Amino acid sequence: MKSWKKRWKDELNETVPKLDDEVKNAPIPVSEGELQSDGSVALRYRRNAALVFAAVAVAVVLAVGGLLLFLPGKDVHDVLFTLEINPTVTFSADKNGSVTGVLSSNTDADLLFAKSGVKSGVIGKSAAYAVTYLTDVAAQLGFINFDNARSAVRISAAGDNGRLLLEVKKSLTEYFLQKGALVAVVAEEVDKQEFCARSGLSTELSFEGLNKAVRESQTVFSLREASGKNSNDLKKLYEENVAQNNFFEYFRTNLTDHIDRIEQNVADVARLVELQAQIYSHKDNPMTVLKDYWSVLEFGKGDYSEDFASLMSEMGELLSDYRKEYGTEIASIFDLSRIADNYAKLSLDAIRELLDDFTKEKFGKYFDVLTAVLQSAGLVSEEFSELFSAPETLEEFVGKTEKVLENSFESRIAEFSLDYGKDRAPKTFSEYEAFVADIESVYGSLTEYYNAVKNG
Amino acid sequence: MNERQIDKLLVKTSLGDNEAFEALYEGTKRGVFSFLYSYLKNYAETEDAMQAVYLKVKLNIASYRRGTNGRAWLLQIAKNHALNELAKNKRAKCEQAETSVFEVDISGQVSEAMKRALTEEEQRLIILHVLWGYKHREIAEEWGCSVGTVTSKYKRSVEKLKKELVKEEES
Repeated sequence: MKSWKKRWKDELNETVPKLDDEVKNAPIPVSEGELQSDGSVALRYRRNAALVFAAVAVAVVLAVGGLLLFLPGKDVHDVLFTLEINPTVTFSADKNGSVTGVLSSNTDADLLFAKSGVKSGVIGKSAAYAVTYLTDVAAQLGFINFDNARSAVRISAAGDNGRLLLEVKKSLTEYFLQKGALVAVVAEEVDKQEFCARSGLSTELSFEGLNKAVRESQTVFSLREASGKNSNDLKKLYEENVAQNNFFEYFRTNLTDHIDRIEQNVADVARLVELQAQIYSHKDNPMTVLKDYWSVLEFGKGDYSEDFASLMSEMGELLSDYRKEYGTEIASIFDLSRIADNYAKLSLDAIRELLDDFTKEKFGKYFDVLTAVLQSAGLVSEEFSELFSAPETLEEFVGKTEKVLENSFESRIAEFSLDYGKDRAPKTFSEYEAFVADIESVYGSLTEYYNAVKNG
Repeated sequence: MNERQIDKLLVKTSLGDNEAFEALYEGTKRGVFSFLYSYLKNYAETEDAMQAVYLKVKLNIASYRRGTNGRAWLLQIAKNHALNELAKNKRAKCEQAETSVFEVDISGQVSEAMKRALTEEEQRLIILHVLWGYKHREIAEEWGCSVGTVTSKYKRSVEKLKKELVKEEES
């Protein structure tokens, strides 16, 4: 019999919750430390970092504790700010600098909120923490390449007296330096009009209305867009916003890597069509109206001529081989026609040509056909296949979109984990200052540099 | 997990080692959970509090100094958070009150027996000694009472708990 202590510990092991992903993935505000000879760690801060971290840590702790230490010099009302990485995220914050609302402002940003808890992980936190946290999530999803020599992000604020923007800028700059990245952080105060242009929010709303919209609207951009749409519009929206963004790479990779298999599938389907045509038009076909292979099999008496029986037998074997090879049962003339029609819409040569210059626009145009091609060649699981078909109701749209985003989130985290987790020596503030000076000498300002980077 | 191990993991975390932070969580989660639960008495609130406490550990890690008492530092964060939560929820309960009745929303024979049979103080005594490895002397220093008082309280608490467990098994 186990002791009560052991039993208690076992019970607790079952009861205690796991560490939340948001906490697990939250950045650690690291200070440069050097192990001393006596085993202690002397914490040396990079220039200005002590002030940055003191400010951020205090603001975070007190925002969480609900106390007001962040006392602005002048009156500060609710603030709106937007973070453009790409993705673009919009926040609202109260006069204490605590985040009250957050929205994804484009389809890429939808991925940041694919996991439940991300949004609640920033509500109530300081603006500096929220921005840094979501930037880190974006980095883990591969939206930021720390090794990219030409990188810039922009924070725009409306309604701020400058203090919040400065805190956020400092926190974000420090984050990138710790990660060993030189990323230009552009911070700008803007008016309501410009803010709406950058965040995608409606210019018709008042400032208070915008705040309310950020606090109360559906967080995920694609789901907001779906509201009030009929089934045709939902289908289009799903294909353009959800499928194109999240399946593009999947399709490109699968089609490219398995083009030989698709070629084989084309050939097999063509042979089945040819055989079926021979069966249909054979003089010994016993049926008068339903003359396709399946109808003959079902309704024919089996008393066939040798020639006809040979065709039927060959067709049966080919269908059996097809099922084994591609996992698809062709159970009727309609099934066969449907598969053959896809290749009529997009031949193998056309598929190869498409892959030579595969863009999201082309993917969107041929999404249905390419989905059918992958299914036909047995290259997609049933579960995934379900996600390709467009939803007809809002409920279906929401369910599928959430699942797609979750799948994409997981696969991107895995795809970019090596790059994200690579060891990079942290940069110093001096290096950042030199980086900014170089940019300003070439582009005139960080803003011009940001515009140049974004415009490619 | 002993004091030295906690200290080592806190130092590694302060240098940016997230794996050390996760190891810290695994090694201390039972103690933090039980400690928080003894204040909050509600599984859902304790679950939230767990995440908040460890997030605070991460965000305030720069303030931790190697060689100081990591165990106490962690418990202090947990205690402060629990008290803030209680104040926020306007639940007026004295830290070492003698009451022991609260809703049972966490399963486990021993856990339930502890809640039925022991006061809050007795529960925390057992949590500190069994889960956190605090010696009676250390608890006495923390609570400002004699070692003898702590030892006899602990002995009495364990007897009550065992009696409750036997009663439970017999029923």
